[in-house]
Amino acid sequence: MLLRDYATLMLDSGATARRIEQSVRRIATAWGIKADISILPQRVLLALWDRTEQHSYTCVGHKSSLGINLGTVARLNRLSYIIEERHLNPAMAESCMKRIAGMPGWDARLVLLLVSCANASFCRLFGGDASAMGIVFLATLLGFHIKQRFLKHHIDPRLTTLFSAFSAAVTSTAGYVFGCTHTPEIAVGTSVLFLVPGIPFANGASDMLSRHYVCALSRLTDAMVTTFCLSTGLCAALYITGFQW
Amino acid sequence: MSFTLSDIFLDGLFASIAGIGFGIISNPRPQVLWLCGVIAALGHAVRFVLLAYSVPIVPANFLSGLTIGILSEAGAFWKKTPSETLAFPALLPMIPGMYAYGIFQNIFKVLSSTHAPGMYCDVLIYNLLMALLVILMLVSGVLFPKMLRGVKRG
Repeated sequence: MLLRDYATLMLDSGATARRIEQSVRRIATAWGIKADISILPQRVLLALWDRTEQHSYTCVGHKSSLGINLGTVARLNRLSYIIEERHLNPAMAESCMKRIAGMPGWDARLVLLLVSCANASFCRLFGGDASAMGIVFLATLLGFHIKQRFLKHHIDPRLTTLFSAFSAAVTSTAGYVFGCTHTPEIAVGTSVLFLVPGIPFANGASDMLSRHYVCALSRLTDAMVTTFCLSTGLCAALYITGFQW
Repeated sequence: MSFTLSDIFLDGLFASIAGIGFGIISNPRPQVLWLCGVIAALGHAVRFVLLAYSVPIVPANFLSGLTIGILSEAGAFWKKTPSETLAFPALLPMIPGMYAYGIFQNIFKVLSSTHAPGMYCDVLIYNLLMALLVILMLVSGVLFPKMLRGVKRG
């Protein structure tokens, strides 16, 4: 059950399929058992055999929507090496795993500030002037704050993306309304880029290149659905405010 | 296209801020977040220089992904962390978000256009192909060093 929970936690945290396979096999080898793992979009199927291959166990883990957490992936990966090197027993490994799962993330206000700076930098990379950067900073501040609030109240992530994109895009049309920037179209275009699911796209492409096609298609489809919601929010904002982009 | 060292420096600087800011959403470990920014800066600067020398965008993205992949493998060895926890946040400034949501924008334009909707189809197909190819080339570049290591071990 520990290996199942380990694999499921890695899948929840956004690890690539290859990483999950390697880590589970490493732990299984360290404990003298044979493991065969199948990673599906919402499930992990684990088949275990003892040393003599006379007894086998099959278990299924269910993915939950915890959100991508690369820190957890790194710590769980490190745990697999520690189990291999120091021959940790399952009880100690389970306690380490629970500690890793319970670790807090970055402060939400710091994340909000850094994401806003990041999106403003993005605006600069696309050729926006200083005023456009300021507009994008404020638009992202509002849009990402709405996203944090909605997710805290467990509102569907797709609706969250739609409303965040809508609010950020409406705010970014300030460039057109007040005429305070020479690049208002860049401000509008980059205001929603903080919602683009970059890591799911990268994970999906990575799984595709590792020949885990089912997982890859699932992740890429999720990413495209999020992008669709983002685009819908942006288009709705432009339609309502009457600006073309 | 002409550029100066300060252009490259500024490009890298803003890419590193973007890499750190977007990377923090995925909750990386504090010890590696600054490294993600450095790798993002170098990868983006490589792409900037290649595009300035008129290298097409798809191979330019592969080469910048390769840069990120090599640096991530080195960083992963140093910080004892999976390489993708460094590489994927560093890739974020180069993920083609505008092409991706441009696909759906052009779908909406096709559906709402009363005349010549076909003119949006070209842009739609272009956005779709660019988004797919750029992402695949970026990730291929990142995974290339790992694939070579796999061949070496046999």
